[in-house]
Amino acid sequence: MRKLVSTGAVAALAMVPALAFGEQASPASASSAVQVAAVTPEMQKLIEAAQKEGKVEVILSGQVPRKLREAMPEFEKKYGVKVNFQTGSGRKHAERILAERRVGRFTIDVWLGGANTALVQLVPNKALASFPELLVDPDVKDQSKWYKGKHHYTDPEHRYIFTWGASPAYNISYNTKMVKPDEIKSYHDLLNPKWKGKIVSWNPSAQGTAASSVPMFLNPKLGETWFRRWANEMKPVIVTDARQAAEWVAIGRFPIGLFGTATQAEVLASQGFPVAGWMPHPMAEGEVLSASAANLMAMDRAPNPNARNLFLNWALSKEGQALFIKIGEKTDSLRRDVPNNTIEAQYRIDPKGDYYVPFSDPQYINQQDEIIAKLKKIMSEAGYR
Amino acid sequence: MTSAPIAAPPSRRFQWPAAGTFVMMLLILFFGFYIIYPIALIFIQSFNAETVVLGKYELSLINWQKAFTEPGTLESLWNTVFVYVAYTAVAFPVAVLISWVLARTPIPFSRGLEFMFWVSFMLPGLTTTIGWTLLLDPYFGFINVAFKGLFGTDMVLFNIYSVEGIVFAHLMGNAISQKVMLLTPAFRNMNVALEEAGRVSGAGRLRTMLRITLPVMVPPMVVVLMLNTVRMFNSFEIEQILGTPIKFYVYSTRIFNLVREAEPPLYGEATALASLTLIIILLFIPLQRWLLARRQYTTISGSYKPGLIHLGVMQPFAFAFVALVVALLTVVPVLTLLGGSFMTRAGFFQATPTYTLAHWQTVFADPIFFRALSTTFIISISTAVVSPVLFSMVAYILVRRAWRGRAVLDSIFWFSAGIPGMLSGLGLLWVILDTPGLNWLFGTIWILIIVAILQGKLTSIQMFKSTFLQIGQDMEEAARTSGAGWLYTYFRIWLPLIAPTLVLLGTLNFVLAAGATSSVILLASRDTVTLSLLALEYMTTNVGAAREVAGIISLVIVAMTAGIALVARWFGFQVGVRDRGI
Repeated sequence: MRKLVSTGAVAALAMVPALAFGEQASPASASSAVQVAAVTPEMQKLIEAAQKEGKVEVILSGQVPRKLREAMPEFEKKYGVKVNFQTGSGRKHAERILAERRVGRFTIDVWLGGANTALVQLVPNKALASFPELLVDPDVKDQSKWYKGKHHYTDPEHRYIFTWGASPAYNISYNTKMVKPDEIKSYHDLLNPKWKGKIVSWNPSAQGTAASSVPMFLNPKLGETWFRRWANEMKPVIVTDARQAAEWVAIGRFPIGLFGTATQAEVLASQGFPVAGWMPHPMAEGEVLSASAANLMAMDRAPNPNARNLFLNWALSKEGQALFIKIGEKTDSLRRDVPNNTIEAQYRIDPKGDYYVPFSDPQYINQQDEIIAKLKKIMSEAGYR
Repeated sequence: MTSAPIAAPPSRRFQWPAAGTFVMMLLILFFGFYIIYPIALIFIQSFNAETVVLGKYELSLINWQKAFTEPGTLESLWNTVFVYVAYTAVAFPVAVLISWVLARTPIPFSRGLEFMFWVSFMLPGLTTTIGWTLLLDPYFGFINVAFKGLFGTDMVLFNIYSVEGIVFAHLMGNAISQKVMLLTPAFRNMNVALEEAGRVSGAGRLRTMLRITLPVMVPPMVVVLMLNTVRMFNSFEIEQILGTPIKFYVYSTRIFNLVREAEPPLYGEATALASLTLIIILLFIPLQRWLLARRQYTTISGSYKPGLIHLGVMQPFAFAFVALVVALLTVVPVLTLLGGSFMTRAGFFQATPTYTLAHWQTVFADPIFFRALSTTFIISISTAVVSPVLFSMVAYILVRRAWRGRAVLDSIFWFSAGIPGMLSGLGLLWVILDTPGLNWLFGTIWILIIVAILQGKLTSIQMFKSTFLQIGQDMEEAARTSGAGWLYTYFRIWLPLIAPTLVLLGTLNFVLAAGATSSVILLASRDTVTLSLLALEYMTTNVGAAREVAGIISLVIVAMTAGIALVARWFGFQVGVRDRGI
């Protein structure tokens, strides 16, 4: 009887947002279009255990995860489990959490954020739990619903860092009054002497740009040679602030911005500046899917293990993913049955697109540090520290 | 023949050490544990070949080797020293002159002008720099564009993206304001009788200032200069914004990059680089002792006579000069912060819409904002109240008591500047978590209060020391002889005399506590996020996208600090010694 009441309550709670708000009124409206799957006994058991724990401790680090704060009330409403979230620098959270764990304190259940910190700090310290075993919902476990028919993990063992979203990577921003998109169809066009001294960029060896620069380094059509020529021959101006770089492109101080300037350029474009953050055509060297911070991780020795597992299953459900991409705005879900018309076309994954998928490439995962070190050397030899 | 009296054999009975020895021992143990232990932990890690995050240890010199053999290390060190010397060579004499004018002459709005230097110090350095780039960017800076248009030339008036620009940005940041803030109360403690004696002997105003006023002001001036020098490697924001595009790299940016940019953070290499500060400190400690022991610097004695010196026809010029500096130091950053907060994109009138309230709405709609405001207020007000009292007592012991161990205690405080906050914060985290009896503090507001209170220890203690050196012992002795107890003496003699310094350091520590990031970022929990951490998050997580929002949070911090400072100054004037013009 109690089980029946509980199941009914869950279903009713799931419908509340859809009934209470119109399509535009709440992020939750994304879930209104999604049918809630039937709850299996195993899931029901998990819900009840999670409700007994009452709360889940979540880290939201990085741009997209920070926005996902707005999604948390939906989980709370649906399951009656409180989400205590912390935002801020993933690196700082990692340092603190690892120090805590060393003295036997286990305070975090779930981590949403960038893969790099997790790969370098959390995985080697065995701070993450093996993910596949924690998936209970048959709908989430079904890999056929995901991009290329599989779950994607950005770690060498394919079990700790679940990558749930991605979008085509845009590395170039440009002033629309100074550059015609046709002038840049290939990255090799950026080596044209006419752009010498006219490119402003973030340092490609900086952590914030690695997701863009490392795939380019691994691309046999570009590789080390391209970076050496770019740094030495084109004399780019390197800055440490993407906003500063994008503003300089927007006001025409530099016609082209590279590495990490695209997001800011799009904000500027929306404010009426003559700048664009993405090329209207794919680059000749091929397109890359970038996961950015769209990763989900389960902490090992979580203080609320059932609430953690429930959160993971909810986050990867069709409903959770629809909510995540609507709120995240610039990331498409790798779960292919999720309607992606809530995000702009340039961020959607084209089902027919031929993308290089770095987060599924062992070479990318295993050699990232090595490549960043090489990029640092190239930049240093060209006089950029 | 008389025999010499036989000396009684020395008593072999155990004698309890004097109470002072116990107090000193306790102080050394407490501050040693808090200051030296985390630094030692960080140092030990610098000899670890493994990265800190892996929790393994392999003894090695590799971090030190890498840190000092990396290309560009020596060049960046030279650049740092060059920039520091350049802006200090301008800032220090200017600050001394302004402090003297504010404190020793009847300049109109003296207190108001002094307060504006405090406001300048409260403003975030990053905002000030960005404000000046909007004016002096060679391509779109308002001043340069106006100059080009006015004179029909392609030349720019001043390019802020240059070494001169970096020096200028430091001057417009805290380089002048912090020194004026610290030196003015010391100049107010000057005994006008000494200056009158100089004038009676036929010396002019300038000669009196150079031969009488400045020599007796050596303790505070030396302290201010030393405090700035040991923090030479802590400044990186200006160089990062203005230096990187012109390939001008400084030492502090390298330390910053190793800690904040490298993944995982390379604390070992960063510690090795930062250790140069310890060498400076080792040179400074004996130098300061020698300087202060050379002569007596008492300016306030039983015959103390506060008073001001009129500058005659120079008075309006002095006022104009101080007012101009105040305008430069405050108007641009305040306009950038306040004006920018109502603009879609601060400084860009081309943006559509140009003006908006969206950033303010973002701040007030942030569920963390009000909690962070309350946390920040509690931490900062506790710091402002506790730290001046605590550190004035420690400084009193260091200057007025002949207890053994003073040199050790004083050195401990100097060594606290040996490691930048971004490194010592991690050491402190380890200490708090690993020490039984202390780890309950972790995640509570109490640990943030303790860290905030102790954050301003070096500046507070050194400034109080220099104040106590200015005050003669005769007044305390007279009060004691008249039968006054310690408390009565403290409130009737000491408090009025050190009130300006108490207010100053209370406010300074309030500012430091409200703006603390590196020292508290690892210790703050979900429930104890402060405004400065929230501002930092807006600046970094959104890759600078929410600079206007971070600016509003900074404005809130400045408004809160200025309000507290005004109340504190009013209180200080009520209990302090008043000036009289002559």
